[in-house]
Amino acid sequence: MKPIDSTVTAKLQAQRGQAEALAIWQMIWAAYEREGVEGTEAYLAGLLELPGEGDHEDVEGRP
Amino acid sequence: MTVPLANGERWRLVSITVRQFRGVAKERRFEFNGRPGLLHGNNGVGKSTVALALQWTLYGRFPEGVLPNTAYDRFLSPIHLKGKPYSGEVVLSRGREKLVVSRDGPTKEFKLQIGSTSWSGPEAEEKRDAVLGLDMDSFVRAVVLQQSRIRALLLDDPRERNKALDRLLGMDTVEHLLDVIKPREYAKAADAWRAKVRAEAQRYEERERLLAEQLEGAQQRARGLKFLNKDFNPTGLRTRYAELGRDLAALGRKYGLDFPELPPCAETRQVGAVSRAFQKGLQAVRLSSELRQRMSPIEKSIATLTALREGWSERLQRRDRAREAIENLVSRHGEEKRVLEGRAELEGELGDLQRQLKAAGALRQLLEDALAFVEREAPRGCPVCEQPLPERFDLGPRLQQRMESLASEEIAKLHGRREKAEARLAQAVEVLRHFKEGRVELDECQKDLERHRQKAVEATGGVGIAENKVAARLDEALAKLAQEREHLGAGIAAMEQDLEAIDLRERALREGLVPVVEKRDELARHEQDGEKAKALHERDDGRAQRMEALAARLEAIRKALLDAKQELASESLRKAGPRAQELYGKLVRHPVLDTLEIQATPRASKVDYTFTVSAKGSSATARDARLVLSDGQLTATALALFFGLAESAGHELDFLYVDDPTQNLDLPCKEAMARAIAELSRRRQLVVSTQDEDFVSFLETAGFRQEAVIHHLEAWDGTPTVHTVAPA
Repeated sequence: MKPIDSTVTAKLQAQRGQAEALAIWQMIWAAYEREGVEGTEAYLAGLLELPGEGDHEDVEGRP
Repeated sequence: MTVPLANGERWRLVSITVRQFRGVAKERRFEFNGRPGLLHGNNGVGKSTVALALQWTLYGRFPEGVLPNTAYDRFLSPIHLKGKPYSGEVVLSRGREKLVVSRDGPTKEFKLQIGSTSWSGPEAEEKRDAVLGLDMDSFVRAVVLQQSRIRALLLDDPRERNKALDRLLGMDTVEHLLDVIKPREYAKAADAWRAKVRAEAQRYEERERLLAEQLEGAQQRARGLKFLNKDFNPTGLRTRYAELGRDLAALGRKYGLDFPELPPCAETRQVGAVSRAFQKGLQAVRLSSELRQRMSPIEKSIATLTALREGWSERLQRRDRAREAIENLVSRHGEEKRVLEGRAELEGELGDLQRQLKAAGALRQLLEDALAFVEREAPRGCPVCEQPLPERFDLGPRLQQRMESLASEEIAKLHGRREKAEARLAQAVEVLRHFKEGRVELDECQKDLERHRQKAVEATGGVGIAENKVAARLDEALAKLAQEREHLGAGIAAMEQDLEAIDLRERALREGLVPVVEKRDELARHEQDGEKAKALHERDDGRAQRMEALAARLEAIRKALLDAKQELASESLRKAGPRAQELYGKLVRHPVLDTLEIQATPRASKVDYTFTVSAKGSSATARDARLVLSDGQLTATALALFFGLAESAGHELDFLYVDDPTQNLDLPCKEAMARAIAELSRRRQLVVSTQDEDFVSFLETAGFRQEAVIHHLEAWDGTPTVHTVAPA
C-alpha cells in the first residue's frame, strides 16, 4: 500500500460516517493505479449524473 | 578516501548496457561495479543517453509530461538508424546477489532475473517494484537528480514552484487526484436535478391552470347554449345525444321515413361518428321525405310545360314571320304566278332581240362583201340582176353610208333594248328565288309548329288542340301545377324548419357540450399525469440527493488528500531537514542567513511550501529564500534539499544518479558541491554526469575521482567514443 493511499484511507476511516467516502476513495485509487489520471476521470465521470439538454420527459417517458 | 563496495544490504549499480539506443549506434556497456562513477565530456557526446537508458530499462516509461505527444520509438531509436530495434540492460548487485533487468523496445519485452530465477512481463514489473522498493515516480524523485527538476524550484510563479516541490516530494499524485476530484460538479448536478424538478412541476401547474381556465370558458359557452351543469359529464353527453337520436327518428317518421337510431355517444371520441350518422339521417329526411317524393314529378312537369309554353310562342312567331315575308313579296311583285309569266315574256323578248341583232349583223356582212367587190371589180352592171348601172350612179359611197347607218344606230338600239330586258329578267329571277325560299321556310315552320302542338297535346292529356288554343291550354295546366307546388312547398318549408332546428341542436352539442366534456377529460388526464410526474420528480430528487451526497464524500476525500499531503510532505521535509540544512551551510556558505527551513503549510484547498532562510537563533531575520538568495545560491539550496530527500527516502537502492549538478553555481560553490559529493559517496554509490571540467577537477581534489570509475566521453560520431578508467 502506497503512503498516499494508506494515509488517506486512515484519515477516512478515522472519521465517522465516511464509509462510503472510503469506498469511493478505494475505487478512485484503484482507477489511478490502473489507468492514471484518465482512468480516475473516467471513473468519476461515471458517477456524475446530469439532466440532459432538453431532458424534459413526460409521464409516458416521451421527451 | 575509502569507498566501500556493495554493503550487502542494498542494491548498487554494476553496469548499464545500451544497444542501438539514442546516441549509441551499436552496443555500449558502461561499467560501474558498485563504485562511484563519473561520466564527463562535452555537450552532445551521449552523457544524457546513459541516464535515459537507466530510467527506461528499469521502468519502460518516463514521468508524465516529459515526452508529451512523442512516440517512444521515435525518441529512443538511434537518430541515424530509424526503425532499428533498441534495447537496454541494467545490472545491479547486492552482496553476492545479482539482479539483471533487460527491456526490448519494439517487442516491449521486459525481463528480470535474480540469480537463476527470472520473470517477465507484468510479473517482472511487480517483482522489480517489490525488490527495489520504489516505483518509477519514486525512482525519478529519489534516485535521479536532473537539473530540469531543480530549475523548476526557482520559477517565479508560486504554483509552478509548488508543482516542482510536489514532484520532488512525490506529492504530484495528490495534485493529479485533487485536479480531477471536483465535488462542485456534483453539487452543481444536484442543483441541476432540483431545477429540473422545479421547472417540470411549474410546467404541470401552469398547464393545469390553463386547462382549468379553458374548461371554465367552455362551460360558460355551453351554458349560453342552454346546457346545464348536470350535462357536463359523459352521462350528460350520452343522454343528450340519445335525445337527439330519438327526435331525429321521430322527425323521420313524421315525414314518412324510417331509419336506424343514432349510435350511442358516451365518450367524446365517438362524437365524430355520431355526428356523421346524424347528418346522414338529416340528409335522408331532406331528400327522401314523402313531400319531396310528391314535389319531384310536379316540378318536372312544370319544367316540361314551361319549356313547351316558351317553345310554342317562339315557333308561332317564327311561322308568322315566314308568312309575312311571302305576303310582302306578293305586295311588292304581285303573285308568284304573275312574276313567272313576266319572266316568260322577258325571255321571249330577249329571243326576238337576239334574232334582230343577228339579222343586222348578216346584212352588214353582206354590205361589206358588196363594197369590197365594187371597189375591186368596179362593175358596170348590177352584180345581182346584171342590169347596167347608170353612168353617174355612185355605188361605193352608197354602200359605205348604208353600212355606217346599220352599225351606229340600229344595232345600238337593239343592244340597249336587250340590256334592259336582261335586267328585268334578272330581277324577276331574284324575286322568284325569294318566293321559293319563303315557301320552304314557311313549310318548315309549320311542320315544327305541328310537332310542338302534338307535344302540348301529349303533355296536357287532351286528344287535340286547335292552334289558337294551345297557349291557353298550356297556361291552364301550368297554373294548376303551380298551385299544387305551392301547397307542397309550404309543407317542405315547415320540414326544413324542423330540420334546421334539430341541426342546430346537434351543432350546439358538438360546439357547446362536447368541448366541455373533452376539456374535463383532458384535465382529469392531466391530473393523473401529475400524479405520475410526482413519482418521476421523486426519482430526480433522489438523483439530486445522490449527487449531493457524492459531493460531500468527494469533499471529504479532497480534505483527506490535502491532510495526507501535508502530513507526508511535512514528514519527508522533517526527515530531510537536518541533512538539507547541513548541505545548505556547506554549499551556500551565507555569512548571515545560515539556517534553512522548508515547511509544508496547509491552506484552505491546497498545501503551500515555504523556503525560509534566517540567522541562527533569530526568527526576526527569517526571509523568503527567493527574496534574499541569488540564483546560484537558490540552485545550491535546491540541491541541498534534493540530497537531503534522496538520502532520507526509504528504498532498496544504494545509489544516486546526479546529472549535471553545477549549473548556475560559482566556482566556490562547485568546489563545495564536489566536496559534498565526495563526502556523500562514502555512504552510498554516486554516479555523477557533468560537462563541467572545473567540477571534474574539484571532484579530483575532493578525492572522488580517484575512487570512481571514470567514463570520459571524448567525442561522438554516430556512437560515443569512451575512454574508461577504473581504480585498480
